[in-house]
Amino acid sequence: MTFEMPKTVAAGLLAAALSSSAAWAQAGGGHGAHAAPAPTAENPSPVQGAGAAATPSAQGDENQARHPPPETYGIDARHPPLYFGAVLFDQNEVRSNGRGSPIYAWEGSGYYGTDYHRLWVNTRGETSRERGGLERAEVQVLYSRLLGYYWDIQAGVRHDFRIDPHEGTPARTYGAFGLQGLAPGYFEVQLQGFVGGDGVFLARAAASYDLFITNRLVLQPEAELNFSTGWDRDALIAPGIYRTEVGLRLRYEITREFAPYIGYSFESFNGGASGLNRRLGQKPSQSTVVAGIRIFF
Amino acid sequence: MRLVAGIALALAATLSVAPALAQRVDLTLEERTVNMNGTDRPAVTVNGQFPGPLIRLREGEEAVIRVTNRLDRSSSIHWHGLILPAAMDGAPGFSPGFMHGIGPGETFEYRFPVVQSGTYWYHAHNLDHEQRGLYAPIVIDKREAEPFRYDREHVVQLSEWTDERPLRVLQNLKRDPGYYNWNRRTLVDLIRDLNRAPDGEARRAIIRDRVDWGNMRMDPTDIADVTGATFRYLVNGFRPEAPGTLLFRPGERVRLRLINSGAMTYFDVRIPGLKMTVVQADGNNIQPVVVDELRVAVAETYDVIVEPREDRQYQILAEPMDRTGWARTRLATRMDAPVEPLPPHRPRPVLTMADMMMNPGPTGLDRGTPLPERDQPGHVAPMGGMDHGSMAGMDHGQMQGQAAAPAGQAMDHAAMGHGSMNHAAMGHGSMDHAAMGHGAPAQAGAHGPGTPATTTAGGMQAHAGHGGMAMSDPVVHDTGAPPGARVLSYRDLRQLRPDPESRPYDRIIEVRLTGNMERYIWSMNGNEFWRAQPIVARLGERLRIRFINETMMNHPMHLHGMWMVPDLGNGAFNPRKHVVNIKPATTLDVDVIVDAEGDWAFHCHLLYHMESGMMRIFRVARDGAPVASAQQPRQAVMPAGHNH
Repeated sequence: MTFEMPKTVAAGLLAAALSSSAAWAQAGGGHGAHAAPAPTAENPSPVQGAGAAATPSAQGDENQARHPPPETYGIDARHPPLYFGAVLFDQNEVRSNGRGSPIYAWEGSGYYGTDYHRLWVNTRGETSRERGGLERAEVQVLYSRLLGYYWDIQAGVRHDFRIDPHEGTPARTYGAFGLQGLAPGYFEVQLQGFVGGDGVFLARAAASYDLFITNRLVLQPEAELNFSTGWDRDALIAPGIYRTEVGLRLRYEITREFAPYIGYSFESFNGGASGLNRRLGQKPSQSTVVAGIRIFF
Repeated sequence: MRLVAGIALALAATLSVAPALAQRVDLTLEERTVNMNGTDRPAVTVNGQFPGPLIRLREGEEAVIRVTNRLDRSSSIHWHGLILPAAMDGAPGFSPGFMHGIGPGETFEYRFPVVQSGTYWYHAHNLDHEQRGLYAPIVIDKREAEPFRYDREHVVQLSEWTDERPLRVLQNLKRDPGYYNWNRRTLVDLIRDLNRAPDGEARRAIIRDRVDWGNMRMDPTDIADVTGATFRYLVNGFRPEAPGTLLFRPGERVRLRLINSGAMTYFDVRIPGLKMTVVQADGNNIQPVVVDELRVAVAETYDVIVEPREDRQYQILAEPMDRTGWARTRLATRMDAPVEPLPPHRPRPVLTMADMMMNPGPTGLDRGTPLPERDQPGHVAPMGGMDHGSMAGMDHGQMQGQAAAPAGQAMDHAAMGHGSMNHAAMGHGSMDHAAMGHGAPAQAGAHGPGTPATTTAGGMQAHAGHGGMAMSDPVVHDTGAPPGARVLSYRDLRQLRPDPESRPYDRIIEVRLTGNMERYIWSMNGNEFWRAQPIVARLGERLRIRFINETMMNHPMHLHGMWMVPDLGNGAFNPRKHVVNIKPATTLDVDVIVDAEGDWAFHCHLLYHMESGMMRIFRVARDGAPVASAQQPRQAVMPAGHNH
């Protein structure tokens, strides 16, 4: 809990992780230079370390050439900890409400980094029922840091893309921060706040639970609430809880990596936002049957 | 059996108990293809063999072993359990002159006097190469005759193989610690359990148990991190479907040298139809003890003698602790004996709330170490929110009543600053710590380090078998053996003669075994290897390491270069070991005979734990000598006998 690392260092590490990821990846195991000093309690200088890793010294190169380390070497104090990543597309599915053409929707995240510091990307979006192109798409790029046993604290930016210049919601960029982790009872929880340019504050709370029917058949209920402090009519945002989403998905884990699923999803614009939707001639709520493949690698 | 031709050499390795050469050995490390599951995978071989060739040495002579690395990366060979100079230990990053290991194309000559005898093994000191096959037995013949008689001997080397790259396995565990666990408790299990429950009370208990585990955010089925989902378990390189054959003649006394060379797997070993007489543990002769079964922790060795009298086949069964596969070989009177079917698996163990009645050991002031390290974020055991009060059937009063604690211990505890520790917050308040294996600290505090303390593990003896919600005994294993069967425990290990080095310890260092199950981070005292201080000991002292396992996994702790003496209540007969298993949520005191100068590796021998940080530099310096370290730990200047 008490990890006295200056914020600048943390930010620098993020940058360094980005800039040096190529160097890590090069050396097969995903970590490179011998020369990179590991951050120590006495000398917490990961910026310097990662910087050195991006441009290894001549001596480091030489050592590297003569002694390429094994793929794994927790045995060597001079090496930085393991860098690794993962990608999870929890929702990667086709949705149909029984009328019109089905749409494709996704929600996923990925990260790269160490146990403590990660570059984190969240993305979600769906295609349009009428036009076939993308209806909305959102990407978050966050720095994620291990806060406690089960929780990561995250900060970064969120961008909502405007896909069609004449239709749909406008592009928006927010500053994003959040908390993500595992709550008692084994609930995956994500709490996020977004600060927009015009002073509107948005919040999102999402939770899901994996109910193991058997070891491969998993029922996953999931719920999400979106909250706003003000109006952003173009973006279909109204004060209060303006959008809710609940879903129930039943997946079969053929492997951890691929799990086809079927399920049900209910989305609804609430309060003022339902009016905004009606004005556009859209139904404020709809329930859909979904089918897709969960991907984890 | 689908071994590639070159790998069939393993057969030769199995039977080549007769040594190649006496003391000069040449080893070549090479990558070769092995085919265990139908696909060719790159294995690391020694002299073209998988696993490597047995090395036979003789006590009192000098070993000269030249290792040539024909791999494309640095490698190393560590002589597991051998007492030798630090420079010859073969641990890259620790051993002087061996910082980068053996580079590709290079040859390193190991040269050391052989000062011991018994069964040992050698392996690469990195996860990638060891998991992929760089391990093999070492047998050292005693100068005099052994104190026991046998007619024939065989090596039984247990290990495992995965088709995945070890780095990939580690990344899988980092991404999802339950990646290889396909035996979680499910809704189907719950319904079945509820149906079987005799009454409403039992049903409520089942539900409460589920809720408790959920609230703890822990998985009671997490017995092994890496399971049969990816591992094939091997004996001498052979899969259980096509086991090797160890020959015997009826009536012979056969010495089996059991070596657990697995990276992650604890094996429960039994030979249906035969009793085993354990005569040696970790290379040291012990007073013979007859058992039906034993659990071999990772990297331990045991020598057992069996006397098969019938002209038939005896299966040597080694069942992984999590029951997700088999390793086996067989004793037979002829090579072409038909392969017998494997028995059904024993029930899979599930951690219980009793196992989790986590005793975090003394925290706060009573750490043993003068400079308590601070936990890194994410390493704090998630026990804070655990409500012990809600646990069914837990009778604190009864536990206290059964505690055979010397009078005055409770007071000692208070005097030692236990009162302020967070046991109270954890609902431990009314528990008697003595009954929890805490006897030693109190006594040490009361009488000073000069008095031999009652042992933690020894003190537990009185409480073994009071069942139910009793604290987990730190050295007794439940292998699922049938009633009446005798299972080896550390407490059965007694040296033949009193240890000449036996004396009271000089000071205590507390080593908490910590980690984060959700992120697959492993550490000691809350710090992974790369951010931790070395543990500094002074040459000549007897250092007590107080292991406190705050995790729910077993950890086989291994110290290079010196013997560890677990305090098991056997006094001067406590055994010398190179690996001491620390069971989940238990405390065990282990004395180190600090008699070898230099930097030594000290780590958990579960290779994926070691690789993710559960390792330390164990630095032995002469008294008064400067400790050559940028991060000079303060215990180096503490007076002897200081144990706070």
